[in-house]
Amino acid sequence: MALPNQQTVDYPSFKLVIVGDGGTGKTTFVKRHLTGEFEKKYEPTIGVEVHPLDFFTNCGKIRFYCWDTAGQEKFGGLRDGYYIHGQCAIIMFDVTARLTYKNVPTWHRDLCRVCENIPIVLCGNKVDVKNRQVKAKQVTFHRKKNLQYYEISAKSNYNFEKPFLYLARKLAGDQNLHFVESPALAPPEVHLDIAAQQQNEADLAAAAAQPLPDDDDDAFE
Amino acid sequence: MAAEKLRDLSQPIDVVLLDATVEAFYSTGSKEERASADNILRDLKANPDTWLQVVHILQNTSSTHTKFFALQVLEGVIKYRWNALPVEQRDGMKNYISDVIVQLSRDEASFRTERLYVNKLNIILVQIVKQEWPAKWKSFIPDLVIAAKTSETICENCMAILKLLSEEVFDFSKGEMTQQKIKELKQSLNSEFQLIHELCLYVLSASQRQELIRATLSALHAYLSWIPLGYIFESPLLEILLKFFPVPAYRNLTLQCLSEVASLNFGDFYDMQYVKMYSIFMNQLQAILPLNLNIPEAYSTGSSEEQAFIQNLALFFTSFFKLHIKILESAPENISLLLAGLGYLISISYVDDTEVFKVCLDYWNSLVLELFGTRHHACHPALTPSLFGLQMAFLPSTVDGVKSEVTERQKLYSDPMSKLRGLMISRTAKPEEVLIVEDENGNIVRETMKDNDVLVQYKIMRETLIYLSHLDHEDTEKQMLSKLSKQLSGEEWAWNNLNTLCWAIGSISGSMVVEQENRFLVMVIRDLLSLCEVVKGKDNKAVIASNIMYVVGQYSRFLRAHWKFLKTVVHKLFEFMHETHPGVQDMACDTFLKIVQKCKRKFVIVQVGESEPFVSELLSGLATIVGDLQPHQIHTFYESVGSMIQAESDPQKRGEYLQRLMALPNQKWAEIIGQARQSADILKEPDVIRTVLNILQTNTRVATSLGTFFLSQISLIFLDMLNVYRMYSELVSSSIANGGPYASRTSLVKLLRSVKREILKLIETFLDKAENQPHIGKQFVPPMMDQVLGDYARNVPDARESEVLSLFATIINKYKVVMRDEVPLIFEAVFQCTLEMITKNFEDYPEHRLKFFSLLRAIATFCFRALIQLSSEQLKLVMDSVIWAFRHTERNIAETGLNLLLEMLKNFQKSDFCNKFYQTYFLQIEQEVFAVLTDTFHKPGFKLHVLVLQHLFSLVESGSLAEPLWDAATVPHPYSNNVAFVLEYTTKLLSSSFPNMTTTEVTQFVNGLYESRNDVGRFKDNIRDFLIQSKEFSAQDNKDLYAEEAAAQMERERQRMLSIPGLIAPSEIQDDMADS
Repeated sequence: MALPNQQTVDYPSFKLVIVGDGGTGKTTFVKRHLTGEFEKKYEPTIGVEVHPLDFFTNCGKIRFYCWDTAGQEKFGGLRDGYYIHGQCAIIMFDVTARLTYKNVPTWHRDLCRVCENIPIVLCGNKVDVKNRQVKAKQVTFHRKKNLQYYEISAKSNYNFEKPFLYLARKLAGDQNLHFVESPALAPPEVHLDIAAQQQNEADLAAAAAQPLPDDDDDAFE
Repeated sequence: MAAEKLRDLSQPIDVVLLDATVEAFYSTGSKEERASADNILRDLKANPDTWLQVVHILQNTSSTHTKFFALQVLEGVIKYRWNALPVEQRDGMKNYISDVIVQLSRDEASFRTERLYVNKLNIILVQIVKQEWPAKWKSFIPDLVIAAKTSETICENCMAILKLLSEEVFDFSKGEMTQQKIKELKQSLNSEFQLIHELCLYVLSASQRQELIRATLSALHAYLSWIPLGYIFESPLLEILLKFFPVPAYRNLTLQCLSEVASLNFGDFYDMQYVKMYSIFMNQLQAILPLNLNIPEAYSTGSSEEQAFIQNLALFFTSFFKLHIKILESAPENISLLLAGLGYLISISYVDDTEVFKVCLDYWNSLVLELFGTRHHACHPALTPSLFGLQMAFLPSTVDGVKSEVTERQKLYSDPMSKLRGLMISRTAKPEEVLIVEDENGNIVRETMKDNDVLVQYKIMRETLIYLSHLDHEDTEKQMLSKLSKQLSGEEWAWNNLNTLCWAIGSISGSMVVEQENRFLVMVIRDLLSLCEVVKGKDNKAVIASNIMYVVGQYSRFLRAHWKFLKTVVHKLFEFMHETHPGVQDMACDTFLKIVQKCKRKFVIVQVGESEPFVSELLSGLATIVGDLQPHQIHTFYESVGSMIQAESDPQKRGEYLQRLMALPNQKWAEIIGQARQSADILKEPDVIRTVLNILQTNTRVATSLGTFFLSQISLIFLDMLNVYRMYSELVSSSIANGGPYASRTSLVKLLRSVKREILKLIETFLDKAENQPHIGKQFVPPMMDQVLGDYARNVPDARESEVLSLFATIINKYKVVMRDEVPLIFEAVFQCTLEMITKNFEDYPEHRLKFFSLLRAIATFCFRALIQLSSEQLKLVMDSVIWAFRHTERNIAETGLNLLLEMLKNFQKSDFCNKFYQTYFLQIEQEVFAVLTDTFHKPGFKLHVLVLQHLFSLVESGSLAEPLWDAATVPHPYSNNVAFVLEYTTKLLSSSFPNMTTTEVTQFVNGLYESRNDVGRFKDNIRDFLIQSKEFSAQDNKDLYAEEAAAQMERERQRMLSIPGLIAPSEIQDDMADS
């Protein structure tokens, strides 16, 4: 299928729509997969942002075009217009904010009215936070709708591949499909001019000497 | 760019160009192309004039995407501006949409290919119906039913519309329509259901068409939860549903309908119908899914549809049994079907899918609780079943031969319960979840999950197993031991099997009487030890060892009663601490901590035959025991020993133990500090920094377990620690100031910051854990004033740790009013400089924001007098920052701000400054809160906005406010009281903000608010309705709304709309649906 702003690739690709209330962590979740970075600042998405995300499976590579949609009503843009031809979806809520779970049925309704019978994963994000408001016991919406459910934490990477694995299995029609390596963190886009490079040489050297990877790649963008 | 031309709406839109733009958005192209297309489309959608071109667009495009877009534009108009349109336009639109729907759905080919478009048209139609029906479109349902009978595809689409209507009215109306409107629509749909019911029955009995039947079942499903029961039980509906159930294409849909019926619960009037439904259902089920079929196997190889069927089956059984199982029990002829149903559910419970399992588990838990309750009630009527954790001593013993009365019910269920035990044992969830994560300074930390679904599942399973164990201890024991022997025989040997079994064994700890438990545990340990003997390979042995330690750790009652055994276990753990096989050391340290926490007293008393308490012996060999451990494991070890020491009641001994425990880290600390006194540069060496960090982390963990008793240790290092803090902090600050934008990311700075944070964490841990010692706060705060607070202010912003703010919030929350005198100093140090960081925008420094407002909240709650003593400029700064807080769209910050505001409002009301405060801030706060209340960005704050407004409205007539809120110099006329003033002010405020509402509506709302001020429920409903009204144009007021100019504009729009070909004058149109 033809999709925006991406060269088509020679392996299977799917349009994945990500919806849910504002501030539930959709963009952070996608970014975490793209660059490995965990974004603490909250900057609402306007309209939609599309990112390709590749996974390696035992059956070859697979690509999700993630349509990361705005959760804020005001920035909603084309809303259900973004769902057209969606082949799978993630509905995200925030376990520390009850309202975001209460709104899950509305997101689900809007999705299903445009995309009939696509695999959907419900994700309860931020399970690392201490005082959660939506208790695991209360999350039952997905049952009657035959959705999959995962509790995730974009911050501590808890279950962070599970939603993609589930969708990949459903789309491939293969229960035994598995990811063969964790999705390679895309190298940061490093555009340094010589002067800046020299200026930072010492710091880079110090960083390189450290045994652990430095996750603050955004500093070099 | 050509597409920019689209923005000019004075001309009929160039549809070819629009198509190209829409395609640029949906199909391949550069990122920029798509973004600019998205931009134009969003702007067009937001433009209030675009909708006038919708018909023109729809008639001239062949792109589904463009049609969808045009309908989206229309949707907004219908939702918010419908009532402001002249009646001709409304009718025109209504008829046009109906007409297109009929045309497309009349023809099978177009109906299928234009699916997306038809679906959206249906939604648009339902949006119109929500506005027009019933008052202005009385015949909607009859029209629809008549249309449905004209063709099977039209009928199929009518079913889709009916489904949407039920969803919109019953499932999604809250917050979308006013209470009055919702009530009206519900009543209308209810009273018209007769026709819909007849249509459904007609279709289901007459049609052979699969799509139509599916659409009908799906529509019915939406209606079943609310329609009067007579339609279900006193009509052929149930029979028809059951007839469709075996047909593969209808299985899932009928099952969902039947589950809906099963979950209805309105007394016993229809009991016989339920029994009948169940027995027909079971007979059909056995025909399509024989009970002896391997369901888990079928599930794992099944299609999505088949998997959904299994899950739906689980939902049906669990909802049916939850409400109606007793009806089945009561008649002997139904028992076998009842047991068969439970058999299915057991079988489904083995399906390898957590969500399917959780559906079953919830039911098993409630059934077992019920059975245990009846039994327990029979034996001990005074005790409630929920006390099971406390009642071991009262439970009848089943080991000494005195079997208690077993009720009839339990006899009935004894076989399924035994099977259930097997199920629970083989599927026990993981009792704890430890994650390895990297913190922002690049340190690897182990995080324990506190509250996630896996842990909750374990808890439910544990509870279920404990009830099951109480129902029959012998069977439980027998099944566990037999599973264990299958591990030994190799029949079921696998790591996962062993793990779940051991988690199950561990989970029932405490449910048996002491003798039985002892015997059971000894057998378990013996078997596990022999298992360890027979299996080969270090990996296998490590897994078994972990399991032994897990089980042992769970049975603390046994450990406490058997010192020799406990000691052996601990020594074994010490051995494991030298075993470098992956995972073993972590397991040993974690188990050690768990055991110590439960048995701590045993380690500080002198046991029979021994010369000194165990802790003393341990401290003598400390260096050797921890010799091979990693730093994080040593920290856990230290916390464990801290826990032992905490159990010692003799202060002198306690002090001595603590000294011995801390000897190593203290010695290292003294060395470093000593060298630093010669030359401070040594503190800058990365290895030294790491050692300092390690020492501090050790201290923090000991402080965690020792609480107040950590005082002597922290006093020892406190002042030097603050010096280190300040030195590192200044180093960080200057590196960042001089080192360019990336300096804060260097590994050296990160390391230094780790130390800073650890120091803050240590202080916070200690001050928070210290109990009943108010003077401790007094004593520890002054030295920090300059070293920590002063330093915070002096740092460059990027070098400031937000933990400083949370430390002081913790201190104030803990020591409360004792800290009042320190507040001005805290204020002075952190207020101005933090505000500068967080008021430039709403995003930077997210942690400082949250912690800053939390600190303010702590001050307002516990040191309110300190706020009163602020100068009026300072207070204004505080109020401004509170308002700033709740203007955030970040939910946590806004919520903290609103809670803080509420507390301040209440406290000021009670204070002597009530009049002065409210005279200055009442109107500002009211206005600000209304601003966020009516802004969709702030929806999550709704509840708190309501509480603030309720407070303000209640305050005006309360006795606390004695002086006028208005300024006599600026008002045109004097008011009789504050109530009159506030009502008028509010009405004006809202009228000017929402010109779409009439003055009458606004006045009604404001008066309603005032009248309902003592009833938070009504108050909230008023506001909810207002929020809906404030977004829409109201019905009666086209004239008020539109001044002459606007009216002229409207006329022009109307003319253009009418001139568009194909839109026939409404007066000439009959209802299309009825015609076709």
